[in-house]
Amino acid sequence: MRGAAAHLLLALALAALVALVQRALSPYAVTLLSLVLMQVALAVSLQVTNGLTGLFSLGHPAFMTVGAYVSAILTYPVRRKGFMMPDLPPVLAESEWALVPAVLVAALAAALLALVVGLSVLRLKGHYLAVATLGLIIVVRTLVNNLDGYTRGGLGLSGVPRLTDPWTVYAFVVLVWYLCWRIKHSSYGRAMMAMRENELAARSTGVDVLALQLFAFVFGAAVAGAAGALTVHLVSVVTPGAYGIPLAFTLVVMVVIGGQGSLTGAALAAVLVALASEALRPLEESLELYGLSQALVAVALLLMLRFRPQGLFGSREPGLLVGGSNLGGSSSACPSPARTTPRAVSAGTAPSTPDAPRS
Amino acid sequence: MLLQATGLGRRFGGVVALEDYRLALGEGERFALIGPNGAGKTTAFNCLSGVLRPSSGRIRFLGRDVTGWPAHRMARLGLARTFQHARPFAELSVLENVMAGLHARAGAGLAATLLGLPAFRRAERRIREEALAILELVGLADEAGRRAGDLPYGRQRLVEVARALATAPRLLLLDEPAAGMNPAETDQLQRMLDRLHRRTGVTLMIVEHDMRLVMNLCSRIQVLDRGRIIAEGPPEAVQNDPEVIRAYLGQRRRHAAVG
Ligand SMILES: Nc1ncnc2c1ncn2[C@@H]1O[C@H](COP(=O)(O)OP(=O)(O)O)[C@@H](O)[C@H]1O
Ligand SMILES: [Mg+2]
Repeated sequence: MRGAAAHLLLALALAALVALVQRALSPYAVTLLSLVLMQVALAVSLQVTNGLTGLFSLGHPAFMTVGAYVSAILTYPVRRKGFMMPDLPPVLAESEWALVPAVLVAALAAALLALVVGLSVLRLKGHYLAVATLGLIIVVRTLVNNLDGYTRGGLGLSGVPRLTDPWTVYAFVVLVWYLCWRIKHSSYGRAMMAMRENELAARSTGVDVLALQLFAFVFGAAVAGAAGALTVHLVSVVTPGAYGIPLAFTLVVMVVIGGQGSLTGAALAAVLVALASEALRPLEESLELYGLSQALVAVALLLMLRFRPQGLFGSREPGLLVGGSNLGGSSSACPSPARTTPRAVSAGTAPSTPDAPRS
Repeated sequence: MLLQATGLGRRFGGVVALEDYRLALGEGERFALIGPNGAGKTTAFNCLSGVLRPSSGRIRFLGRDVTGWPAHRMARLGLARTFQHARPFAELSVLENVMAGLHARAGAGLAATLLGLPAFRRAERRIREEALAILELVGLADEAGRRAGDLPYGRQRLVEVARALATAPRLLLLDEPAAGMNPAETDQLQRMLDRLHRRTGVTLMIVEHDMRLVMNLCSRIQVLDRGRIIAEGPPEAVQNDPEVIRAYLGQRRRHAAVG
């Protein structure tokens, strides 16, 4: 129960931070805090999809885009809907949804899309998922661009109601953290890590690999869909290219820097990367060196892979959060330093042996 | 009859790895499959355990036709196996390796897990207790908290046995379990398998080159050469079969004499 108390404390401390920032700092700082927390939720959920399972999905931005547009359309003020979204069917054109149902439907839409993509791609082997989800980002953007009767195409949707405040985002991060922590520290999490470590051996101990991969992929997509929805109600605009390949790259980097499978690591990496990019923004603008922060993220990744390939935390969590259990190897705290291999780099290249069926 | 295979065959492109393989295992038997390298022993295991789909033939297990079943369903039905080359979940602790083997059988449902319901906590407690008991049984209790990838090779092979046992198998296939073990470890393995068999009555089928282990442990032996069965019977009969000596045992004796 020590672990639970530490989590509660952490949640309270974060609440205090949100309250403090809201009281004492500018609206800019408040928005920044919300966006950083959103990145934390995204990175932590990607840690479940990719870090625990060994999958390599780049799909988060696609699911965010879907979530953002779905929720924006559902909540848009009725009196301006006819002008902005002329093609909407009457049911949607005449209704103006509240935040929570809209976000739930947005998450559901992203999850359904992930289910379809996952069912068709996860049956194939290896790195198809990376390629397919990369393609998905482009497909979604193209669709959003072309469905201009619903989305205003390339113009993007502006004037989306600001229904989200830092407390909504706070609640969202806490919920995502709670769910991911539960998944990781359960039988499901162990089975996921088992299939990451050795898929064939996991199958042979009764793990339904396809079902677990689908679950992890769909779960991550639902979180990303909800994150996209909440963000659009924070910043009130969304464009087809708002969430693209650079974001996919940044999120994957957060997972690698944090340590594959470590939720704490991903959260910490998300905060560091998000704050660093924000700090660099004035520099980018004054030097007109756009993309500088992306480049620095890439450099950080290379340095990490060179000097600490297992990431900040390996696959582990800090002992304080784990609490009582001390027999864990990766899912719980361990006194010995992490000795993992650079799995993100060598993913799926286990040597083939006579046991490994090649056909 | 626990398991019955008839006419099993498997080819890889032009290579016939296994042909007209048959097997009939009774409940509680201790059975060995031997033969020279490349004879098709691992392929037979792969077909029986659902890792590979056989090109021909049928398999019945526990009264059901399980031909073509995938590996995870075979494991859930009660057929567990280890691999010729250790495949530990390296990043997980030894205990977690075994606990992972209990997921399919004893894991809580998704809703209970996400909500942290009492059913979830009960399931986790049971998984941990059963895993610890299995580690005790195979003699790995002292290494429960160690990262599996850090164990010496011989101990990793034991982790695989423990993980297979976690699925509560009716039939356990062990592919060269003593490979990579020193003589002391092999003796320990033999005693452990004996104890396991006495306590649980699990049916054992092993592929092994260590003839002492095979002869001590098993009451029936099948010999495979170039994908075909060349002999089957009790140890004494097989040991003195001229065909077996020509194809496998004689060759091993010569090697032993030279080496
Ligand atoms: N996945 C595979 N792909 C192609 N050939 C294979 C495969 N597995 C086994 N073989 C071939 O099948 C034959 C039998 O191999 P195997 O079953 O591993 O023998 P054993 O375990 O008795 O040493 C060998 O010729 C081997 O090269
Ligand atoms: Mg073999």
